[in-house]
Amino acid sequence: MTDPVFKVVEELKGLGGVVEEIKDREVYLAVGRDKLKSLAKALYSAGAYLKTCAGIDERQVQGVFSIYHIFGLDELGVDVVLRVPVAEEDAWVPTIVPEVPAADWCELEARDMVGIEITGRPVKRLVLPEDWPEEVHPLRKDFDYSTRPPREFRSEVAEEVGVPLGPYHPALHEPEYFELYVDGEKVVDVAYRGFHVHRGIEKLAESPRFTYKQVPFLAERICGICGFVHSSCYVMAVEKAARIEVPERAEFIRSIVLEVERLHSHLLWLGVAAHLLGYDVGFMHAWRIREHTMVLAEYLTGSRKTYGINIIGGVRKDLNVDKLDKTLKTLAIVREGFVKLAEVMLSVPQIRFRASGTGILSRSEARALSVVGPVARASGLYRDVRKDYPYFAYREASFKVPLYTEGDNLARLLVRVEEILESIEIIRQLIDRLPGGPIAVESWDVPPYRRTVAAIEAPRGEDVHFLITGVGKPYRWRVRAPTYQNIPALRAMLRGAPLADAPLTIASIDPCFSCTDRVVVYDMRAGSRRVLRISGGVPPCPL
Amino acid sequence: MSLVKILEIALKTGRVTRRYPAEEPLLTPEFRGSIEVDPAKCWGCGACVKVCPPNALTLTPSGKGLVLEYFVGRCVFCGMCAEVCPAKAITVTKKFELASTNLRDLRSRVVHEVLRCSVCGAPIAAEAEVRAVVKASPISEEYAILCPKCRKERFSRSVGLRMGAPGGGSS
Amino acid sequence: MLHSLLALAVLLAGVFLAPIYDGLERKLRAAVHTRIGPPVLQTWYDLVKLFSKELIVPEGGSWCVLSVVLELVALVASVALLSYVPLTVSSGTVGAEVVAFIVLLTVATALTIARAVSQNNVYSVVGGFREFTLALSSEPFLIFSYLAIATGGERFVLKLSSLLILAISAYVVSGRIPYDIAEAEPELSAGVNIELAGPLLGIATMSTVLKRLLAAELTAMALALVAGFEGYQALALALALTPAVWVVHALVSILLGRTRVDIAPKTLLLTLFPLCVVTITIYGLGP
Repeated sequence: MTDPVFKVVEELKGLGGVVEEIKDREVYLAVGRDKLKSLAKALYSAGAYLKTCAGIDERQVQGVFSIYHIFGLDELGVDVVLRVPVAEEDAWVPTIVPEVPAADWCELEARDMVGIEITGRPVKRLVLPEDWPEEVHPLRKDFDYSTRPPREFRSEVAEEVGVPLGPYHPALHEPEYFELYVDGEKVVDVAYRGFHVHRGIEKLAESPRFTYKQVPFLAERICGICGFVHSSCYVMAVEKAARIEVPERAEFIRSIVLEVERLHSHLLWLGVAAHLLGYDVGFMHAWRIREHTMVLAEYLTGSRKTYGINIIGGVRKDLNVDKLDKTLKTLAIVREGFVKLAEVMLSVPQIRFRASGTGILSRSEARALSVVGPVARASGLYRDVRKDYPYFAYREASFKVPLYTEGDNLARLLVRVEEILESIEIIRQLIDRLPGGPIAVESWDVPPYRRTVAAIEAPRGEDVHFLITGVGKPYRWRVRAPTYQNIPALRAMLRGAPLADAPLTIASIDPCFSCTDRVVVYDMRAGSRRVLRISGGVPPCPL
Repeated sequence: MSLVKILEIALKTGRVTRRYPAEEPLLTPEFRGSIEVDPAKCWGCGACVKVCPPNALTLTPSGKGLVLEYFVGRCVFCGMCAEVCPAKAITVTKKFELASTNLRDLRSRVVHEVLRCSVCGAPIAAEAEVRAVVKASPISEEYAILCPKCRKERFSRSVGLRMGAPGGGSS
Repeated sequence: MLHSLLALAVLLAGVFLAPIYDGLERKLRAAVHTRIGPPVLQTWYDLVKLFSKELIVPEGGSWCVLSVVLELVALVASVALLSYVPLTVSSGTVGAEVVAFIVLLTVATALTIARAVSQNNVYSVVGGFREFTLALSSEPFLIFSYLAIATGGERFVLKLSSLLILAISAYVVSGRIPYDIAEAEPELSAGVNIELAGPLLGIATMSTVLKRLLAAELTAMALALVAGFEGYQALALALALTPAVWVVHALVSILLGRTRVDIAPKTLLLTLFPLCVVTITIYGLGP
């Protein structure tokens, strides 16, 4: 433990925290719920950001429920985890949202899934649907994963207006639902309702169906764009918990494939952003260039997406000379094509005007909401897991982390443009330094009831996996994807801004849903309510 | 105006789309498609079933035999089964045009005869597996055709005989 | 008599060719996208498919159907009437046909907006208001410049500035990017036409391509007249130049992004209004 970390831990102990465990870069403190708020406040003032919190049914292990608040001191590269145990009959904790606004969603999710009540704040169902029965909490151990609780489905639509609402619509790629409250042309407030495709993956991993070995394939399917990030983060968590020494060559291969994934993801986003702005040429060319990375991924791993090469203790596929050669050739093609395309796209007046000065997220808002990824880096927060908590082979590569301070849509675009170029550099360096040796450990063993926090810089931002190992399979596996952290920031970005900017702004956080959103517009002045398609621009209020 | 440059880029690039299915699809040599199980090689051991993440491979007793069923509808084309198969009976093909209007087309099976204990008649394992184990290891066939229970009994009786326990009898 | 036959011929050719030009535009767009794209006849295939479907009348009822049909009729008639313009210019007066052309064009736009706004679908209403805003920022200028060119006058500077106004406003009327904000998105839930399906959508599609034809023909005609041609020569040149103008329109829409709904009227008015003032000043300053 380094000196500054020691100081923080001492301060937290002074405020009532009890050190449970100190690992290489993780500190676990148990804290009573009466002291929680002051510890959270102290951590936040010390510069920490909230990565996520997780509600856990620890009755089988420790006889209590617990809520884990996971903070990151990214300047020091250390995770500080506050664990608040509560008895089953008296399961409540105070909210830490006033001290750490980023805790909003994860507190509600813990309340939904484990049933730990959160006091001191307005609560609502976040993840579970409104008609889910009370007192049935899916992540409790006595809730078998194949249970289907009885539900009465509401037959009438609860909305006042006769327009068929609801987040499912043939034009949407993924279901989600924004409510924008407008006053004339200005957005006054935003409400978001998501989780329509919650698949219960965390619970599935705990079921008898799965073993440690099989979960990487499940993790890869959390996201169709950054699946490799999730499988890598999971195996990283297991390897950390079980102290499995992964061969160097495997770490390099993982890093190379992660950067290839970043390339494809950013190029995909660039195309979508162009399409939203009506610039279909940009969309087609971005995806044409991206196609090279997809073919490369298939050649390296066997599949265009859901690569399936991560296993605990290493990787399944090696990179031979031909593959490395092909990688370098592809990178050259991608780089050349991309530089030209970026130049063209940024010279299109509509793109520049609509992206510049719109959807602004100030640095203080960004910090309070603990945003991650390009959203953070465009608002002046120098935060990148590859630099702050280096993992795999990233220590071996020297690369820049792009930082902008304007916090507008254009800044988020430029961050991603630069990251594409940096990723190409990183891959080249890693190929250059690729060590020989095995690509996986011969055998491994995972002791039960060990805890770890693992994080990877996904294209969209930090992906956090919190893992408690069990017998033969995870005891608890909490996944916090980067978009989960970034969507609450939309409220700050859309508030006070013109309605016409909403589509691009929502797209600019690179959310894990497509940006043909359904938007309900409440006109505060006229007290009326309309449903609009958010992409393509929204007209001035005719009333 | 550099935004007009896109015309130059397009001109140089030509057309990148393919007239699939009139043209061949683009597949790299590493592409993983559906699997094929060679019934002649398969042992019926179930290693693939254990490792399959989505349960596409199942091993179920059926009548007098043991059935290994592969359901393509569940398969995620990870190829782990091919990796762990001790008999090298599974090949990963490049087939991906697997859609069918008939669900039965998506299921394929390998049926194994089950070896029964020569003493008590309980099922042991697939015949092919037992044969392969006998071939590869120093176990004598006489042990291999007994179920674990009978094997234990026989072994303890023979130990007992050697230690002079009464009532040895023949084994 | 001869001219009526000619007008009919122009009409039929126009109706037949407009979807072909649209197909060529799609092929051109695909080429710039490095795609193969649909066959050139695709727009005709789409129309045939739409007309072969079941007629579903939207909530607006028969009024809705009537307005869609009337809009097409107005546009078709406009195509025919446009062929009279070069002839009336040569005679030095504003013929009834020229006025009729303006009226029909305005009626077609008004029908679209009225129908869209009267639907019980929010997207439609929104699209209607957007269409209204755009029309207000472009069609008066179109009419103004069209009259300026149609009433002749020998002064080249006058003709040139009118041509400029007409070229810009005609492009906006063609409903392409950057000014396709009434349709909102290339995806399914478009704006003004969202309630239309089957044959009604087929008619609306035909109206769209005819509007584009008119935009191209108007511009081509203005070019021919400004270049000094007259009468049947001007007409022939205009019809020959139409596909070239269409290609230029297509390229502009391919190379640009979509503008924002509040920026569009601003930029249009800021461009076109001063040009009008300039034109009127030049006219007022006498020959």
